[in-house]
Formats: sequence, C-alpha cells, structure tokens
Amino acid sequence: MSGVQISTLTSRTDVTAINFVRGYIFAGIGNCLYITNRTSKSVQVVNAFKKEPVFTIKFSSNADKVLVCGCNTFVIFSFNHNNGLCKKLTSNFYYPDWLLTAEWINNDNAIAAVSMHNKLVIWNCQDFVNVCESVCEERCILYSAHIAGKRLGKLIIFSGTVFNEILIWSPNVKSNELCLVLTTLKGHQGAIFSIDYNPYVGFICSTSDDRSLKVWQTKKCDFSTGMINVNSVKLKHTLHGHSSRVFRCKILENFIIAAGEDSVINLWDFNGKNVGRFKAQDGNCLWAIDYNEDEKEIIVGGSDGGVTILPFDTYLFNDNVHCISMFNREKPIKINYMISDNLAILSDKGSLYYYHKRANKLMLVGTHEELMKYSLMEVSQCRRLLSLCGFTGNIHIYKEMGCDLEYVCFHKVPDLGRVFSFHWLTCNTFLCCSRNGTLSLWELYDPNEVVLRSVFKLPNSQQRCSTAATFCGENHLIVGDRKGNVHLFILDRLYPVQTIKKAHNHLGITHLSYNSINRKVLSLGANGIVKTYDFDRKLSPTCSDKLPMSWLEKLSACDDLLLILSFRGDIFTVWDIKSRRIVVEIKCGGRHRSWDFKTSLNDLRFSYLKDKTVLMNDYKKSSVFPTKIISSFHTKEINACQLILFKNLENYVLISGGEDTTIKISIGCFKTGSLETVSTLKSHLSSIRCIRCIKRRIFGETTEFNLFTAGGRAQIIAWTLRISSENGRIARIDCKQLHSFHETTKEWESETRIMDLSVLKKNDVVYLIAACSDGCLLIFSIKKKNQIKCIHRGCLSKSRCITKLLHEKFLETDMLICTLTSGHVMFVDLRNILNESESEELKQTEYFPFKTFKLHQNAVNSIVLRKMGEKRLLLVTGGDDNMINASLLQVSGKDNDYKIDFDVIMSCNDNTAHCAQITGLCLSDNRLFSVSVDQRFIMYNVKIDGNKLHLKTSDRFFISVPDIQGMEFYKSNETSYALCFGRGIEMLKIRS
Amino acid sequence: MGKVSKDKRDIFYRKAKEEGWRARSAFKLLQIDEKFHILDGVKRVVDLCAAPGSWSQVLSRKLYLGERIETLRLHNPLSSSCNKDDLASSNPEAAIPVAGNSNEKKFNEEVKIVAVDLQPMAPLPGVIQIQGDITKYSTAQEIIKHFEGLKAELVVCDGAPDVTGLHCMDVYIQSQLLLGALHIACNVLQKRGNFVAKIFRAKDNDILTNQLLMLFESVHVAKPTSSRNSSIEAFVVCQNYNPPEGFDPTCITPFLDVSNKNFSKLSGVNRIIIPFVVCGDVSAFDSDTTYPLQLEGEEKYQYREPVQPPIAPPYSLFMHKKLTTGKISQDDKSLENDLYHVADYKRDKNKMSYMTPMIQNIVESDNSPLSNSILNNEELLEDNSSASVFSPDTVKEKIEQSENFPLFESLDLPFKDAEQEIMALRISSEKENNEDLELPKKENILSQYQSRTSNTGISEEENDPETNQKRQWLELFLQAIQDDADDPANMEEIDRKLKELRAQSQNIQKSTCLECTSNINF
Repeated sequence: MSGVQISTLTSRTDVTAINFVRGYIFAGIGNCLYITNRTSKSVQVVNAFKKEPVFTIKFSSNADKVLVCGCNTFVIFSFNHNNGLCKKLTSNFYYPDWLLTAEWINNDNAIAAVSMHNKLVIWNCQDFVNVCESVCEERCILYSAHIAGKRLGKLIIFSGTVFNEILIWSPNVKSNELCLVLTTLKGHQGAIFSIDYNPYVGFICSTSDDRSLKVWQTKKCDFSTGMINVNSVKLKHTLHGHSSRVFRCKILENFIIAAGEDSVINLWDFNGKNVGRFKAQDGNCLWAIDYNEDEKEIIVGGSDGGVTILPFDTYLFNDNVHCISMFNREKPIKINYMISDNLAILSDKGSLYYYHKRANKLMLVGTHEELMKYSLMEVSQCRRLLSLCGFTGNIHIYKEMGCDLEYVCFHKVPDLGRVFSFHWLTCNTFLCCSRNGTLSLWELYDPNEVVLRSVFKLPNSQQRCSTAATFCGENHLIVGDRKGNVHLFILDRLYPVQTIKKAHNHLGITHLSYNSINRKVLSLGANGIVKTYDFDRKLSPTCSDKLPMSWLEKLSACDDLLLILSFRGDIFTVWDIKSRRIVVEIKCGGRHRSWDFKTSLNDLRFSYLKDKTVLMNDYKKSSVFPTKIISSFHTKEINACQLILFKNLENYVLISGGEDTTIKISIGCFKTGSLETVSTLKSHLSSIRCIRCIKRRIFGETTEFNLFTAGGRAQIIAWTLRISSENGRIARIDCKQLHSFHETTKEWESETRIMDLSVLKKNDVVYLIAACSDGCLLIFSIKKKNQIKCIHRGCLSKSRCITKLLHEKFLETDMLICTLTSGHVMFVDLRNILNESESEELKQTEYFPFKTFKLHQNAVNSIVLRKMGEKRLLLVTGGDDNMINASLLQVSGKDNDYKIDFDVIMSCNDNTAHCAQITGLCLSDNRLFSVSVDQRFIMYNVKIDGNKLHLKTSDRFFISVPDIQGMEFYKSNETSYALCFGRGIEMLKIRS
Repeated sequence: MGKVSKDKRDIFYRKAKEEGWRARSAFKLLQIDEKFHILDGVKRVVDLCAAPGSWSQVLSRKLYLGERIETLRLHNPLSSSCNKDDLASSNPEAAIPVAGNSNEKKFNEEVKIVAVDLQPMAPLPGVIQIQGDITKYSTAQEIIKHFEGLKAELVVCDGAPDVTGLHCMDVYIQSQLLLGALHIACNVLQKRGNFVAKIFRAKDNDILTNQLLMLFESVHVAKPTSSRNSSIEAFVVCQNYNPPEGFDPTCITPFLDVSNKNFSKLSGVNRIIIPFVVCGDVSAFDSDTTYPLQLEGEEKYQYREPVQPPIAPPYSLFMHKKLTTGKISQDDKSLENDLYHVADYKRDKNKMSYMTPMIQNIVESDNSPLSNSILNNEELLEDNSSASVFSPDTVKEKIEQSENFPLFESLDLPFKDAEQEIMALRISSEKENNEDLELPKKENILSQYQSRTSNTGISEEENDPETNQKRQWLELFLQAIQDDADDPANMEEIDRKLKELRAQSQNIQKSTCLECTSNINF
C-alpha cells in the first residue's frame, strides 16, 4: 500500500431501508446507516458494510441493539436512544446466500433470517455460530420474505416467490427434513416484492410486479405465538392504486400503506378503500417505507436518495369537504374566493351571493339579469375586487369590504356583444377581449369610474381571443391567445411588437405571469408545458418543462413556494415547481366547472362545483408539504457531471444531468461534505449525456460561464451561468437558457443522440464540438455577444458511434481526439476547420483523422491525455472490454512540417483490475485513477522504466454507487477529490 | 410519430422485424455463433428460459430448417471498399428463404431442439416445448427423454430476471439464474458439450465466471455488438464440458461460493482472468450507432409490426381491469403505450392473431370506453380546434327556446374520462366557429354612450378636455373593433391615433395592494 487514505466525503444513492425507533429515523443509503434525530434533524452517518447496501434494519425489543442486513451479510450495532449514538458491536458475518429479511428472536438472544433460496437460518447472539438451517420443500428464488413470531419453535415464514406465489411454511428446527409448505397463496400475476403480516389485525398484505396489492384475511392471533391458522387465509381485497410496480407495504393498526415505482404512497383502510394518496418527487422509485406511531407520520425513501416525512393523520381523503347547497332552485355557476376566504357565488338566475364561511351563511348581494345568458366572473389578484360581465357587454365591479360585497361601479363597454375574456392585470386595471380580437385596457380611475387607457388588436387568426394577460414592466403587456401564441404589446401600439408563435400548442395559453425582480415571464399551456422567458424589451425563451399533468391552469404562490394548478382527466392537481412533485390531488370531475384555489396562512383551499352544489376542500399546509430529512437528488442514472471550482473557496458548484432529463445545479462543500441542489432545470426532451462548461468573463465577484448540455433527440442547449460569491461563500447562481438546438426530424429521418461535447476558446471565440451517435461531428461558434451558429458538420465514421471527445492543444495544433464504439481512437486536426470557419455558411465535409489507433475490442468509454514533456503524450483509455490501455505517443512529424504525426513508443494494458466496463479515468502526477461499472475505484502508479511503460495497481476503494457512468477529478495541494457518478453520486477524498 | 421512433433508435430492433425474428436478441446468438461456431453440426440442443423464443427461432432456422443465415452487415462500411456486385451477393435478406419456400426444403429431422420456460410460447418448427421450471430435476429428466437417452451437445440460456431497478439485487438474481441454468446443464450436457448463458457485468462478476472454469475447459465472456455499449449484459461462452472426476451434477448447489468475496484476495497469480471477447466484426452493425432508416443499397424502408408481441405480461390483468372500468391514470406511460397498441391493432383486424385472447376481448367489445376514446384522441391530436364549453350557437338556441333556459347544466359535465371530455369539447367548439350574433352599428353605440354620459350627469361640454379624451378613446376603440380594422390603411390610422392619444393621456396608475401576488419568484 502506498500510504494513501481514501474516504467517502459525500454520497447520494438509493435509499433501500427506513426504520423508525424512539425518535430516530434509521435510513439505509448505500452501505451506510443514516441516523436522524426526528426533533433536531441532526444526522449521524455510520458505515455498516464495505460493499453491500443496507436492505434490512431491525431493532431488538428495547431498541438497544440494531441488526443490519445487506445482501449476504449482517452486522449488529449498539444504539443509545438517549444520545443517538450508534456503534458497531460485532464484526460482519457472511452467509452464502442473499438474506431477504431478518428478525430478533428468543428474547433477542438469536437472529433468524430468510435467504433468497427459501431457507431459514438461525444464529445465536453469543458467538454468532450458525445454529441451524431449515429448508423449505419448495426451492425457488424468492424476491421477498417475512418472519412472524418471536420464538424459534413457533416461527412462521412467508416467502414471496418469483413464480407469483406466497408460500407460508413453518420451519422444522429439530430435524434435517425439508419443511412442508402449510399453504400457498395464489393470485398475483407477477413476482412478489413484499409481504407483511400483522397477527393483531389478522391481515397479510402482499405487493407485486402486477401493480396490485393483495390483502388476505386470517383469524387474529396472539403475537407471542405468531402461529397462523392457515386454513382460514382468504383473499379479502385486490387493490389497484399504482400505475407501476408496488415495492413495499406495511400493515398498521387501521390502515395499510404501500409505496411503489410510480412514486406514489397509498393508504388503504381494511375495507379496501383508498383513503389517502401522496406523490413523492416525480420519477422517484420508492424502496423504503416506515411509520412513526408517535407522530402519526410516514417516512419514505427511494431512488432520488432523499428521506421524506409525510404527515399521516391529516392526510385522509374527504374528511375536510364542506358542501354548500342551499340554493332555492338556483344553481351555482361561478365561484371565487375573496380575500377573507369567503366565497362569491354566481347563480344561473344572475344572482350574486356572498358566502360567509365562519357563519355558514349565504347572502344575496344583487341580481343582474343579463348574467343569465352569459357571464364571466373574475377576481383580481388581491382578491378584493370582483368583476362580472354579461351578455350585453356590461361590466359590474364589486369590492369586498369587511364581510360583505359592495357594488363599486357599473360600466358598459360601448360595443354590444360579449366580452370574450376578462383579465385583471392589477388591482385597478383590467383587459377585455371583444370581437375581432380587440383588446381594451381599462383603469378604475376614480372609485366609481372606469376609463379606457389603450386599445390593442390580436393578429388575425381563426380564433382571435385572449386567454391570459399580464403587465410586463412599465410599458409592456403580454397576452396569450387560444391558439397557443404569446404576444408582446407596447402600450401605445395597436399590434404586438413580438409574437411567439405556438409557444404552446393549439389548446392555448392558460396563464401568464411576470416576475419584475428577475424579469422573467412564465407561461402555462393546456398542453401540460411550463415555459419561462427572459424579458429584456423582447421575450426570449429559456426553459420548457413538460409536467405529468395535461391541462395547466394557473400559478399560485404559497409562502416561498410556487404552485401550478392543473387538471389531469377528472383530477385537480397542485404541483410544486421546486420539489417537482404533486402536492394535492382532488377528484373533482374535470376542468369544465367553475373552481377556485387560494392559499391562506395555514391552509390551501379549493372549491368547485359539482352536482349543482359548491364543494369546498381545505388542506392544512403542514399536511401537504412534507419534511425533508435528507435532501433528494436525481431520480435516475446521472450520465454527466461538471465540477466548477473557485480559488480560495471551499464551496464548489456541481452541474449534473442524466436519464431523468433534468439538470441540477448544486452547491457542495469540500470541508463538510454537504451538497444542496439550488436549482433544477427541465428543458431537455430526452436524457442528458454530457455537460461542458467554459469560463467567459469575470466582473467583480461574479463569474460568467458558457454552459452546454446535450443528449438524446440530438438536442444541445446553451446556457449562461453566473455564479457570484460573497464573503468567501457562493451567494447567487443564475442560469439562463441561451439557445436550444433541436430540429424535429422528418418522418423517415433517424434521430441521433449527442454523445459528448468539447469546448475550446480561440481568439475570443468559443467553439463547441458535438459528437453524434451517427458518427458525425458538429462544430458551433459562439461569438462575443453569445451569438451561436453551427459552422461545420461532417462525418467521421459512417458505421460507428462516437463515444467520447477530447480537445488538446499540442505543438500549436488544436487536436480533437475521438473515441468510437469500435475501439478506435482517432486524432483529427482542427486547424483548417477552425481557420476557415470565418465563412458564414454551414460547411459539410468529411473529417479525416490524421492518426487512428485501435486500442480496444469494442467501445472506448473513457479517455485521458497528458503531455509528457515537449514531444510526448500519454494516452490512457478504458473500454467496454474491461481493459485499460496506456500508450506513450511521440511526435514523429518533422519540426517545420505543417502536418503532425505520432508513433506509439511504449504501451501497456491491464485487464485484471476491473471486471466490467471502465467509465472514468483521470491522471494526476504519476497516478492514474479509474472507475468502472463494477463499482471499484482503482489507483495505479504509472511508471516509465527504461523503454517500458508500467501500470501498477496501488490502492482500491469500493464505491457504493451502482452503475457508475464517469468521474470528475480535482486536486488541491495534498488532497484530491474524485466525484464518481452513476445511480447517485459519491465524492471521494484521497489524502496522500 | 411513436411507431417509427423505436425503428429509428435501434437498428437491431428494426432489422429483427424485417427479418422475422421475435426479438432483437436473436442477433446476439447469431453473433456469438459467428465467433465461436457453437452451432456447427449440433443435433441436440436445449434452450432454457426460451420465451418469447428468439433464440429457439435461431436454433430452429439454423439447425432444423437448415437455413444459411448471415449475420447482419452494413452494406457500405466505411472501412471496406467492396464493389457493387459483392453487395448484392451479401444481401442478408437474399439468404433468408421466404416463409412459404421453407416448406419445400428438407428439414433436418435429426435435430432435436428442446425449449424450456415457465411461460407459454408460440410454436416454432422443430422445437419441442416444455413448460417447466428449470430449477427442478424432473425438468432435466424430461429434456433427456426427448433426446432418446443421449445428452445435449449445447445448452443456451438467454433468461433475465424481472429487473427490480436495485442494481445489486438484479445482478445477484441474474447470477442465480445462471447457476440454475448451469445446474440443469450439468445434468443434461454431454462431455465436451458447450454452454452459453447471459450474465450481468457489474460488481464482482469475475468471481462467478472464474468458477465456471472448474467445469469447462475454456470460458469466455462475450459481448455481441448487438448488445448496447451502455448495457451491462454479456454472455459466458463455456466450451468443452469437462467436470472433475466423480462430479455429481445433482449435488451442485445453486449458489455462488461467496466465501471468497474480497476481490483483492483474488488478485495476483491466483486469479485467472476470463478473456473478454467481442462478437461482431468491423462490418457488423453496432447497436449504439444511429443509422438512417433508409440504408444505402437496401430496399425501400417500410414500417413493420413486431413479429410476436409479449404474451401475458404481469400487468395484463391490471390493464384489463382499468380498461373495463374505464379508469386510467394518465401518468402511466407504459400502460399508455400498451393501449396505443390496442388501438393500432384495432385498426388492422388482420393482426388480431398476434394478440392475447384477453386483449382481443377488450377490443372486440366496443362498449369499452377507452379503446374508442384512444382512437378518437389520436384523431383529436391532429385537429386544430380549441376547446370551450360555451358555444354561441347553443346559447342562441337556448335563448330562443325559453326564457328560463337551463343553459349552465352543461357546466357540470358528467364525463368520467378525460378523453371523452376532450371529445365533447371538440364537438362544442366546432360549432363555435360560426359566430353570427347581430352586431350593432357604430353610430348607435356612440349615441347610446352620449345619452348614458348625459344621464349620469357628466358634463356634455365639447370643450371639457377630459370628456373629449374619453370620446376620442371610444371612437378609436370602435374603429378598432370593426371588421375592416385589419385593412392596412385603417390599421395605420388607428395605430397613429393610438399613439397620439396615449401621449396625451396620463400614465396608468398601476396600483397594487399588499396582498397582490404579481411579484412571484420563479
């Protein structure tokens, strides 16, 4: 060993186990145990295993000992619930098969575990000698198991098989004979992922690949015996509440909770009624769930690496619905919340009512007969003013004063016919849309008079009707229309100065909002897409996000959160933008009813019309916004990471992206190991495969970067990233989309993926080179004012996909090194291409590498290059063939020759260190670091001994993150940091 | 869109359909065979975990039907310089006989192919199916029965578990599946026989592959180019079965020996590195590369239906339930895809034979709301009309009908389904396009306005600047709202007037209340 210390600094990966005990939350994340104090939320991390993830956590009866299982190993910790200290009591014990579940038995003097091949194994806690094994007659692979009972002779085993069955068997500890299956529960159509049995309530619950839960009833039993009357087991319910596989279930005193791949947590009562439903971060595959009896809350974790607490008792459906139906043969047709949380209700007879909530009183305010034929009722943003528009173009304005509505004024728009739409812009201005796309801007000038302030026309189209409008700064107005176009007006011009055609699809724009602080505009579309734009005299699109809802309606603020109100079929949905999750879902029957949503100090309120009545749902904020114990990260594989480092700062910025199509910007700390995501950008249509960043300029404490992200569907997005620091800390990060390159392909055209990017700067021009899966290279130029243009396109290899790109300036030559899926490494001279790039037109040519080496049998997945003196280069590549290849290249071209050429003078390779694809490489001094899908991090010494190149393995470290896709490296003095990413991230600290 | 996108993404998926394979994995066995010649002269072969049957199909076509199947090749690989004549002769499609022709061929009746799976599988010529569990000894006995006492020369297994998403569990279960297959192989394989099975190359797979050397003389880890670069899948190709003296295959425990789990202990001379081999040469297709749909030198591309859709997936019951109750959650992508499939099939009833009976029932019974609405919805997407409940036509009609019209009943649509709702909206919005409300004359309005202002007591004096301005604004508005306002001449005039008036008028006071949420941070 070389005296090098490697340790984990930061880690985020799948949460595979969660258990609550005496005020502490135990979470198994990777090979570590995270112990969080429920009250203080302080976290203690202890390493449980070297390589195995934690799958099972079980407490002894007085919770002073913790049994932790992972894969085929287990260990016991001592736990002091007074100070929360958790220490290893024993060494790790191994068993030759995967342990699916384990339990303390015989007054905590023994441990029972069920293995994947349907065996029960018993260890005694004196010496941990394997006491006995009990084998079930049915020998097949299990996906789940449950042990009932507390005494060795009276255990009942529930085994969930890959063949869709649950076997109930009783181990026979006295003889070596195979144990008979007492009964088999059949009915599931897929592998069984979890089983729970609660003898007190007499239910068995199972979850399966077939997306269902099955609840089986038995006779209630005394838990001390754990015995079960197998003849009494009957299928009680089959519950369908998940749209994907159901991974975990737990039976509580009165309820069953289940969580699944669709990030949904469902609550069921014992009658099979779905009484609660909660959605975690979209795409988060839930693996672990537990219940805190004291606080009545559910704790969940999954593939986003986060641990969340959900309040449970307030989370039940329908106990908070209030119904108003006291109309005298009148039907409510429109409703709106006023500022006091009281409702304004308009009836089909043209009567306006005011509903006083606390007094539960409905008062008639006034009747306008013209409203019988047609009516619009809109409430201003401040919810003090209410407007009513009728069939003849009259506008009535009411104001809420105290607990009543007062008539403010009546105004007649002097164009008979309808007001098609009415938008409150501020508390005293509104916009009306009438015939021929005519928009009129009015001001409540005097409390009793309405004055026309401007007139606009929507461009001619089939349906010239506005659907949303907002002021944008002092002199601009933005209007959305029914065809999905966004129009920007200046107050003294009749026609729009800018029109963004089809900002949303033909279903139209539903909402527009302007933020004067950061000058951003947000639009919601009926196509389920949220778009943001930067406003600087003109609108420039920055972000486009498709939400899992179909009909977005409105934006609502709730404290510091932003909520999007939308509909999905007949369900009203509240989406939290920041945490990317559904906050509330209410089955109200669809969007074609009048409804209103309001947030108040402690509540979220939703009212809607159904069956001629007004229904009011109130939710406590505390019950719908969960508490995060451990912050979450990407929900799927991370394909690319870019570290941004600053001199004299212990903070770093991490940009990451992957299969979940989001880009996350996070701030981390080298000292404490903390990592917090500050922003999630969702603009990519498909997975993100590469991220590159280049410093553009520095002004004061702010550094500006060009950020490029690319991936599936041949999409490349250019961003401007600004990072400002203050007092030695990162204070502010702004990321703005500059341009998105994505051409929709024609029907028969193939769509490529962008595999890698490379950026270089030359004479103040930034060049971006993209490698495509069809073997082509694209070159873009980015001039000073961020004008981006594709200047070159050509094919490097027609039959092979390019996997990685690397730019290197060597002997005054800009070289591009490309690796291919065929195992080739190609060197391309960029000089000609970049020099001729001044021309304005896109050039199409083929690229001819001046040098090609075949170094691997198939795909090259990682590459690193370093100058070794004047004329030598050390090239190291890692491939899908488990091989690391190191070659020392020497320039063989003549000095004054324009052309450059290499020869391999020494080379060596190693295929012993890794047993899977090598995805990350790094060279630092005379050391080489590699990571692979096999989760090994390996350090080599690189030595040139005479005319021989040597790679000698010096240190190894096991990374708890599976499916590693790459590595970022940073060296600061004696300490190096390696950030490995894949199904999560792990930051390693390497000290010499 | 949608249907072709998978063809665009994956050359092997497309080629599999074009060449009649049930799954793209057929190419993996073909490429392995190309490298290791494991199918040469083989007469008794076992395919474990066979469903949906693409490997059995390869065995059937190569061994039983005696087809000469060339592996897929790119017609004009950049590196090779073959001329046009070579291209024609190496056309892989030319080598494959059309289904009708194969009847005239002589079958190799000596060949016995036994396919084992728990799931049923559509029949294949020359393939004997056993629906059984590969972990049971009785299954091994049944296999040998078909070989008339002889043992198999080759055992292949392309089985993979239900991937849970938890990496280390999936890798473990895959290794158990391989050991299960090895277990049965040891019971049915003759000495010097070969064994091919799928492995996952991830954490510590070297320990597993090392142990195979105890039973076989040569072991390779092979990755065909039809397997993606990003995929952890590979295949162990074990040749020359040669168990140690006195080895009892019934005693082999189907677990890994994990006592030696520390890979650092395995380093150095004690550790044998299993050679890794790539199958598929320079001219073979590569699954990571994007190829144009229309490849040079090939006949015109056309979309083809999958040869064999999956039989009874675990969620089929769920699908059925959702379909019949008409309830479906929208965020379920995979389900949606399945449903779209149903829609596709419904269009083309000839394809019905491929469907499972359950899905057929759903499609046949037209009262299922979803199968209809999907079709409608697809059409809807192409329709450009927007949606609204209010249609002037209906309004007018109702007004004419009675004084107390129950107009707003339509507000509470009794629809259960989003799709139906959209459908209904489409109908209503279609009607909306005819807008023929009677429009008042400009002059009338002005006089009306004048009379109103006089009634409310506002001074009628022409000289009052405020009233004058209001009047001008109104005139401008009335000019703007007319049908001819969009004529270029009028447009310019209105625009000019607007500018003038705006210059005269005072700025709008955009007062905001404390509670105003206009400044929302996003």
